[in-house]
Amino acid sequence: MPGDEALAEWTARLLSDEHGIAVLVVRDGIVRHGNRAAAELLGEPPCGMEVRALIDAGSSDKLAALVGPCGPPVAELQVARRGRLPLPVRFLCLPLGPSEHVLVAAAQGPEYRGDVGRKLLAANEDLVALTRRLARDAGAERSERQALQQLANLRELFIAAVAHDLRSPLHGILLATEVLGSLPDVSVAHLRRYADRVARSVRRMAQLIDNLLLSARLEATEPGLPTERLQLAEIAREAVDDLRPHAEAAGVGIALRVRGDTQMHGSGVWLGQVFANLVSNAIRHSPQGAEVEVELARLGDRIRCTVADRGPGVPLEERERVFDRFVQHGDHRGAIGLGLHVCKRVVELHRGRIRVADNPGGGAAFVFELPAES
Amino acid sequence: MEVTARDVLQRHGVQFLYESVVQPALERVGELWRANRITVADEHLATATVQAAIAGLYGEYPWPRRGERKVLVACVEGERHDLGARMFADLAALEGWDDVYLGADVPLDALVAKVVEARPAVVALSLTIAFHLPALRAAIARMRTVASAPGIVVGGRAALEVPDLADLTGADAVARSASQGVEAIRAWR
Repeated sequence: MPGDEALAEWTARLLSDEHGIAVLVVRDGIVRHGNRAAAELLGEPPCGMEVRALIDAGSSDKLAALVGPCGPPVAELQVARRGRLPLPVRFLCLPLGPSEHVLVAAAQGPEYRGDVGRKLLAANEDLVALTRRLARDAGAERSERQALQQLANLRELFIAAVAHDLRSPLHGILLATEVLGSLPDVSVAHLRRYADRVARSVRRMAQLIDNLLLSARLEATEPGLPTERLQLAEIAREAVDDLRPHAEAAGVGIALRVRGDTQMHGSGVWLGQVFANLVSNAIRHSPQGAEVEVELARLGDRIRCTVADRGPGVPLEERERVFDRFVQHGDHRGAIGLGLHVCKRVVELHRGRIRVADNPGGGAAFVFELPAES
Repeated sequence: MEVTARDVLQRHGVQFLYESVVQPALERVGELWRANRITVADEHLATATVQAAIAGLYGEYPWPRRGERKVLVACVEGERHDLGARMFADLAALEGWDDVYLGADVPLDALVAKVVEARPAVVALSLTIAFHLPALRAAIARMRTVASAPGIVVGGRAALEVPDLADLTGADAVARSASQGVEAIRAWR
């Protein structure tokens, strides 16, 4: 590891006697390395000794604080010297790990004056630079590992979400074909009903696959989107018209209202997908007989779009997370794990913002704003 | 000192610690030094204490992966005050830049050689004492001859004292604080 080599190199440099300042490396309370200057200052070679034993009992609290987790970086301690008076020594402590420290020492007595202070500062700079390098490398490595772990988690979530979202429409198709196959004489009405069910399931699977492909492309193409001048109301109308048969089959109405000019620059395909995802979500969560309201309004230099339903709504604590990838909420019906994520990414790539709020009449209201053409 | 710094770090983050605690404290130390109330040794000790306190917290910074774009950070020749440059390098690293930090008093030839070798997108040069302005101008003039043509951003205390620093030195941008510097280098991301 480069960190270990760097540490060894710097420790060796600090322990070399050229600079004449005392350096001790302390691990688990024991002096592991000490240079000649340290031996002279302390009156004996300190290696292998408990660092506490080197310090006068009167300074032991200060020493504990110095090497403690939140201690001051510099402390003046009385060094116990065999057969001699205690010597006041200023120690600078730099942590290398939770129980490993470098102590750099300079005596305070007049006989130790000279350029020790300057050397101490230089040693401090070196140590700070070393600490930074080690922490930086360790941090970068940690982040790398976390990113890999996240990727692995995402992969599992992805597989689970896809499996979940494909299973229920497939199950619907299977059921419909089994029923049809088992009936000796199928009426046209029956046939139509089951064909509708198959078509609904296929549409749901197709939407999931569209979202998967779009999501993958969104991750890869950031930040450039092919844009054109468009009327957002047209895009919304197309999406609503496409979904109208689906809504009728579910017994849900859709109302589209447009106020003001909705001209903007953007990607029609991607924005169409945003409306398709939000409106089909709204249909799915609406009780029979309810109406999904789609509203576009020009507000100054922005266009505000609202897709509101009369479903159960989104609880406050889930509102941030619903836009994450592969997050499903509520009763887990359908391909919600990807649809809202795609919406958020597309809106953000258009320099807009999306959020979910309460529909004043009950239910959820997904609101997004996009910059209009001025 | 370190207890307080850790508290601040945990509650408010690195930028707040640097710009609302460390920087004002060192400004005050600098004022005392200019007013001749403390010696240069006291000033250096104060800086060393701050550096050691920061070093004690480095392990707790949320260091991200090194990004693809490099920023090279250095103090010009003769300039010994590197804490500002280091704070800038830290904030840039925390934003995902791959930082090459050269520290205080970098001889001009060594600086140029490192820029040629590392090919950073931006070179950030720090100037605390306006006395070193000629060294800064010389450094920027030499940077302009480097084939990879990095962007050049200047920061440090002198940026507050010399209002037309960009014109005087030919730098692409001048930053009055570490976070302003990080904002400025986004242009080369």
